Amino acid sequence: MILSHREWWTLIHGILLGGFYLLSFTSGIVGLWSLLHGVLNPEGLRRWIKALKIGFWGMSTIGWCTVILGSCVIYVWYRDLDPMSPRMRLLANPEKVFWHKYGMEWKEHLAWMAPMLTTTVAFLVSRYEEKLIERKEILKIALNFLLIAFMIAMICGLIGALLNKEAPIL
Amino acid sequence: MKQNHFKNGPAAAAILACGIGCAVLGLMTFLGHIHVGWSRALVWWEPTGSLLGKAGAAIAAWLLSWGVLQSLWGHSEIQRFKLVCRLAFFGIFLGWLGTFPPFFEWVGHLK
Repeated sequence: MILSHREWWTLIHGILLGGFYLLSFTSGIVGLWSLLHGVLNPEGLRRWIKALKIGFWGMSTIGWCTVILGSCVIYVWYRDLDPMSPRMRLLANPEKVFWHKYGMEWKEHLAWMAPMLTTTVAFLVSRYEEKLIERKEILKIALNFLLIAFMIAMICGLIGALLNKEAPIL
Repeated sequence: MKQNHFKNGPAAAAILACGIGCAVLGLMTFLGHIHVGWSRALVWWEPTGSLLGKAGAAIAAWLLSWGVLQSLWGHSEIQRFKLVCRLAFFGIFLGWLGTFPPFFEWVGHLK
């Protein structure tokens, strides 16, 4: 199977970066949940916080890379005026216009919210460290932000995958 | 120093700033769709249309408000922390609503 350079970049955006970003939510959610329910001893907690800090900053960086690559590279090919561009192909087919009008139009904007939310979570964990256990109200907000970001990333990932099926970037 | 580190002011600043950033993203997207002038003003780089303008404005609002709120609340204990969090969630909701195509289409029909 031979992939064009555009397909390679789409793969890096959707599978490599986007996939890793989505997967990292599971460990992030479990990590914060463990803090919330106090299931760690002091030594485990210290190590856990260190891992969470590295994990959340890494996750945020990957989130920013995903949206920037998606918006500044993939999206440019998507909305090209060439009649064979995905946007033009979708708009030319009345049965597929929906995918552009509701799918891409939502995904391209909504996606920017996810890294803002995960960066905020990374900051909260780095700033409060072990004290998050005593400040449960902050910990709960961090967990909620992470769940919202996860939902957004899932929606965008799903729309992206379906769009690529309907009108792939060639 | 330790005491400052424990106060909820920095958390409140970061949480509310995130809500503001999301709300601005929703507002820019909404205005860009219902008003042609707004949409044109947000074209910062032609190949991406108005997308980078909307995202850039939201990121600028997020970071700027974070800086301002941090300087105001950075060393304080915010008593109305719950209210700050509710406002942040409302901002996130506005961000979601403003970017949701059926919503701005519906408003467009009302015009």
